[in-house]
Amino acid sequence: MTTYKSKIKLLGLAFAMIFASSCNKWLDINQDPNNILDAPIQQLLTNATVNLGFTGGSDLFRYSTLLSQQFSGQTTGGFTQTMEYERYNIQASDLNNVWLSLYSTTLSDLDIVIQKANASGSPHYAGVAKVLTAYTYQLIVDAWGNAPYTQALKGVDNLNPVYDNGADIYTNLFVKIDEAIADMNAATSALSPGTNSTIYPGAWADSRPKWIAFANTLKLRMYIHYSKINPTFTGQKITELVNSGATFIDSNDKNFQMAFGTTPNNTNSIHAFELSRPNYLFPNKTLVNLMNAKADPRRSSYFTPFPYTSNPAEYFGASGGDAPGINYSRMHTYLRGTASGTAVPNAQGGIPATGTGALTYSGSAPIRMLVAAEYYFIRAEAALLYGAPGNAQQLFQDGIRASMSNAGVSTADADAFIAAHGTLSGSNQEQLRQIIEQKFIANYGVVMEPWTDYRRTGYPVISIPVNAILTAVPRSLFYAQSEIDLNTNAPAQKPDLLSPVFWDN
Amino acid sequence: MKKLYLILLGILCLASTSLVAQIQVTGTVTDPNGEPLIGAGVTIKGTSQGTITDFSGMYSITVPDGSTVLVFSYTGYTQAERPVGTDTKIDFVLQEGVLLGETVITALGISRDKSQLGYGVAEISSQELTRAKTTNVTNSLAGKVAGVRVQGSGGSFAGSSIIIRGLTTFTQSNQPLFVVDGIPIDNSGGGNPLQNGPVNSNRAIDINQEDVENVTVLKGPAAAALYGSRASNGVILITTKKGAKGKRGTITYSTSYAWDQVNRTPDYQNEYAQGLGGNYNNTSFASWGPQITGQQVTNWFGETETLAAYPDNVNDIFRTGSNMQHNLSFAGGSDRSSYRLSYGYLDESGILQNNRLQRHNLTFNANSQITDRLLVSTSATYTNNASTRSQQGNQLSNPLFRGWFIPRSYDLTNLPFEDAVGNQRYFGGEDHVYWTLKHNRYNDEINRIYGNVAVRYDFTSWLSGEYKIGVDMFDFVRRGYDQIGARGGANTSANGLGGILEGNDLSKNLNSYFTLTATRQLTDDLNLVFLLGTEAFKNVRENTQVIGRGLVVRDFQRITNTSTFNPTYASAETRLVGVFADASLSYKNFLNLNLTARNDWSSTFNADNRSYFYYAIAAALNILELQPSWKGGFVNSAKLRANYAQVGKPAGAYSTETYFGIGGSADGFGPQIVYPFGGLTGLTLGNGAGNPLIGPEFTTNFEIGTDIALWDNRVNLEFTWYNQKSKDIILAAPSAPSAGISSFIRNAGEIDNKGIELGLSVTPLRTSVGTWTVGVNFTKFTSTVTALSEGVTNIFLGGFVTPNVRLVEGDDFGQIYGNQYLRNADGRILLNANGLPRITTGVDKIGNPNPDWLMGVTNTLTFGGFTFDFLLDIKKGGQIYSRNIADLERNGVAASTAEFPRFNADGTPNLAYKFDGLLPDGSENNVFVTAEQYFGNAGKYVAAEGFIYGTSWFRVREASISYRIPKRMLGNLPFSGIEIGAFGRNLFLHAPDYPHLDPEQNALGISNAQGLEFNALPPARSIGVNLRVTL
Repeated sequence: MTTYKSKIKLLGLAFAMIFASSCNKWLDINQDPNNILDAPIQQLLTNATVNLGFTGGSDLFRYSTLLSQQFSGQTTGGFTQTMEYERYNIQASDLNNVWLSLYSTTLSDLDIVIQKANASGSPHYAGVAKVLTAYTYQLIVDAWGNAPYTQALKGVDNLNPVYDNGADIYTNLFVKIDEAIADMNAATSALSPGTNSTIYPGAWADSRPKWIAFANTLKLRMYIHYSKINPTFTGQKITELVNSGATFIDSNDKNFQMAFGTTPNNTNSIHAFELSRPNYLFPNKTLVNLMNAKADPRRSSYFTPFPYTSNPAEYFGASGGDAPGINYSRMHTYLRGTASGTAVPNAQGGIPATGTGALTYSGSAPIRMLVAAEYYFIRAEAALLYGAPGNAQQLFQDGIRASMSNAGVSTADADAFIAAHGTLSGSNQEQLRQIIEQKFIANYGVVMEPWTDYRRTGYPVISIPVNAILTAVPRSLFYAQSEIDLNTNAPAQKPDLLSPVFWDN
Repeated sequence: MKKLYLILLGILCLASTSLVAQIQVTGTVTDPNGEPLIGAGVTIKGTSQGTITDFSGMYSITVPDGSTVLVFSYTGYTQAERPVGTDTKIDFVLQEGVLLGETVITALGISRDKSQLGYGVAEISSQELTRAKTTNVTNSLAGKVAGVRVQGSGGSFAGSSIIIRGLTTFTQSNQPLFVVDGIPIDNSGGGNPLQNGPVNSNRAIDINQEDVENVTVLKGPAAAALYGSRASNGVILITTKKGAKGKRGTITYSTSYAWDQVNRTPDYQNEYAQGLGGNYNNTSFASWGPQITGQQVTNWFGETETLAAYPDNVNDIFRTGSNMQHNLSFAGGSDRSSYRLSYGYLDESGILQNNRLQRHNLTFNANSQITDRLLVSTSATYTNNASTRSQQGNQLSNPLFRGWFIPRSYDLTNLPFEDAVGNQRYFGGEDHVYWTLKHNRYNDEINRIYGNVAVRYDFTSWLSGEYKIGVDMFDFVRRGYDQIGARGGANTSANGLGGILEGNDLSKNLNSYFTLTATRQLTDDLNLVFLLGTEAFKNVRENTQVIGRGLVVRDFQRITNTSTFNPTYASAETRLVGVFADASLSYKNFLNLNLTARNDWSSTFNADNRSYFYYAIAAALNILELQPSWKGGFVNSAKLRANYAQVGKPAGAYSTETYFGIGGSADGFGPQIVYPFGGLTGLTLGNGAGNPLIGPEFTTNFEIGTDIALWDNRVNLEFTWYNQKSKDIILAAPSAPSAGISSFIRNAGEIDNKGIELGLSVTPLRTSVGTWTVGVNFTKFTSTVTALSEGVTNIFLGGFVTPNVRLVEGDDFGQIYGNQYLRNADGRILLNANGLPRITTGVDKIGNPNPDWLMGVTNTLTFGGFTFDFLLDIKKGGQIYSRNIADLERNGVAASTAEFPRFNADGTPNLAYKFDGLLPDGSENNVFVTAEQYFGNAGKYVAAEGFIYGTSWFRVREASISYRIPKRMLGNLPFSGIEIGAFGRNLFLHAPDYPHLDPEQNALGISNAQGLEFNALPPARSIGVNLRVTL
């Protein structure tokens, strides 16, 4: 009995010893082999630019393009989210995804790029990441107003970032952009972005001037946003910037855009949405009618004709609350890339989005985020109204020409259009309308800016959809539900979509 | 390495012990009529050693010489004990009885006298399990055990979720551990995809139920603590059939065939045609068109067609499925060893075409008493399980995405759906039902081996050691083919360009146990069973997948036939080591105390937090034993039991760090960027932050209960009350994205489970010719989320922007949230000027999927050779959001949408509906609207709240009748037994609050998120026949 007892005790002791010695080693395997604890700066920048390009044709694009009525949300009978968005039924939880991708992916990765660039003595990387950060925050302020900025992106160190005033963020972004330009101009940099950036890919020597032109043009864009609350500031700042000899996106080869591939899951996000959600988006009557009124030659690359076989080609847009169906023009090569195949229209002349009888697109058209035409139209507006240098008339025509060229319109056709419609006339207000309408057309497929221009100028004139749930055009988006739920420093949710951002008061 | 230590240790012990004599005992176990009891249990009291009787009721068992007691048991009979003494032949007659006084198999395969247990266990015999044949063993458990909630996720291939006594964790699995013959096996899977791919089975589907001798459900941590961390949600303990020693071989063949049909189909209107606003429209998938009067229309194909209703256009989608099973087994043994070899084949054809599952099971087990002291046993199962399945989820390639509401005037059955090449021809934006079933294909195949080898050595008459090693390994191959022109995501989201999926999942589980068991009669009244053991566990998973998009040649299913392909590989490994001790001390038969202690070391924590200890104390008090004079009355036995127990649970792999991974982009609508992108790859810092400080989560249970047997054991009552709390729950706590992360791992959160279990068994009739037994099991528990992570108001478990399922502090587990109709302070609905409802901008609680209670009622009637049995399954409460019903209404196909004529005599729309609410000016609504407006996209459909339904049901879950041909009638035939029978499942359903469909569906399958029904495969009703022949 006693011997057995002691034997049991001995066994227990043996067990304990075995575990003490070998256990820990056997259990030291908790390092994820599928991921890494540190990542090179190059691939972090790639992911940031890819996400920005994607976002330029994704959620935020759909909200802003529907609110500004470049597109209309339609259906062939079922429930579609785009239809709801167009009638201003955009809910706080709809915004979780874009908010997450902007902050937790794009800005968070850019932030690490800046840290790594500083640590490795690579100011060129820091400069690019800073200007992209500024661009991203500009989108955020324009869409939401106040937003986390000074305390954002601190991870577990600050789970409840405060919301900074949109105006303060803008002010700080100008500083950030200037820092970015200085960084990009640095004579030496251990590492410089190259083909790993999907925006302005290529040798740094070639891309640096484009990045700097973009940085300056972004400042121009942000200055013009002050036109409603402080036109003097707009005029003064644009004058200063132009007179400083800064370079701008003055030709389409400098456009701030991202090119896409033709293979599935490498195509642009507007095209991919058209395939995965066929018949959710059709060109809006507001846009199509503006272009129809002037027989705009860009229509042949912007839209498919409706009826499809009409000759001369006719174009027909949709508007919120229209009867379900596919009998409208569709977006075309300008947004989706080269088309092939033969479309088979239905009896009314509508063509299917996918499958038999649909056109096939390459999907490689770029997502355009700031184009040369916008630069010229900003300059035209500033020259016309805010005392900035330049000839508004000439700049207006330069803008149209840049847009025509971008849409593949021949010089002859562009000249003809300008001869017919390229002269600013009437009151300043009337001329502003002409500029913004052309800007609206030129910014076809550009995320946010057409909605911003509408909020700033009231152009183009928009008719509120018959089935809208608000009686006015939305002025900003709800704060994402995830922030309301999880950030104790988030402000109270907006009562509706009519709260203006700081430059819209 | 450690294994080696353990073996060495064992050898050391061997060398130092003395020999002890053993004797062979044989005999026959019969019922009071002298009929042999086949498969009756004969075990050595206080050990896991035992055998079962063969087809003549004979057994043979080797017992240590000395103070050994044999325990005889058989389901439906009162368990009895008999000291062996020096007898070598013991024939035994078992008396009929129920439930109490049985030996049950508990943790680590230890058989224990149920009257000595301080915790609740339940046992299901193979007969109970397989009366109504199903493919998946989890489905067979529904309604049979108190305290257990089985939730089917719909469809015959789909699995069922098993929740024992409530939910213990937030986002990790709440499913119990499955253990076969003492070794845990993998029951992962069964989650349904939301956007891509097919419906899924939980891996318990690989088990052949015909090989199962019995199933024991260990409900609480006290019962399960010996299995450690993985047992915090309870254990389903499966014991397989074994051969009998000392008996000539027997051959058993059984077969069954069942026919399956959709259990419930919607009530359709057949008056109004495809279209909108009263007009025929051949591209609309709504049925708000004109009244069908035989008018001529031009259909989508451009042909003139006479408008007609096709009442069965949806029903025709479903065929009669079938389930065929064949099982052949050989069992036998010599006086020192026994074996059983079986082969099972199952072939199930689903109710949708191209859905088929074929399973082969080859099971072998054997044990041999090599010397008087050395017993070697093994058990192994090889499973080959291959299936073809169709697409599922919220995607246009799911045949049921819009399949339930095909326009009433569309002749889906007969109109063509493709041209000669296979190009789809269909008006809708989604894939045609038959086109996607034919062309978007998926098949999988699993090759799986699980089994164990055990060596037991009896050092002395009272001390034995056992080493057992078990593996469960499978290779799961998945193959998908998406046809060119597919409109939905199907397997690969190839945007209509066609795609190929090739996936391989490898799972390896290795378990090793070393245990020492000492059984001592300390004094005449005091008996001790002491067990000391170690466990080492290792789980490795590898997943290889290649998705190719852009098919070059149609119907050539090879990955190289695609223009781009993205390979991925991922692996994960976790390890765990445990040391445990269990002491069971009995004083007479009166009091039993059971102490269990365990320490685990998990690889998923950093070294500092790796070790954690937990324990259990259980007591059982048999009141009648207190005073001998109390015996002999109408109370046969009365037991009080109580226990307090804890189980710790580790984290998932790799949650202690934040990693960079391959990036990409996606927006939830389908568009995405997958690397490589033009030759580039991007990396991103993970949005989920790890935490080096996390430690285990704990579940603590306090339980009291009683077991009472009355009137000759004709009435048996079991009652348990428990309170189970989980704390320090490990979760990825969501955080505001503006911090740059969307979640971080931490120990936070608490769940409180309170519940009762009631089991009642009554035998109103017990005569020599027949018995009638009624059993009732009642389950009621609430799982309350008492704390979430600090600063977190809710945790998203699954679903959509609206509706979704989430955890909210202070509320029941997994509430349904969605948008509601806008109301004023008085609760009146606020309407637009057009008389249609408005909606809230955010989401609010709209439903609770947790049932109030569940009840199963079994009835077993035996008469002569006949056995008639049925199982009623009653569920009270529990809500579900039904997107299918919403779709049936908003598209005007439900019969209810044609309750009133849609048009007046003059052809104008009939304004027959009015919402109860207030107009914008505050006045009572007086705007009447059409059915289309009322049910349409801007009407009732706007808010998810409108489609919350109660799922209370009463169903005849199972019914069976069987007849065993008496031996004397078999005469000179070479058979020793023939049994024939018929059975049915889901024979009757009464769900008063749930129209159109069977509420037993869950869009997300086996998931902690229950309560959303969304285009899932419908459950089936089956009727079948079976035959069993014994040679």
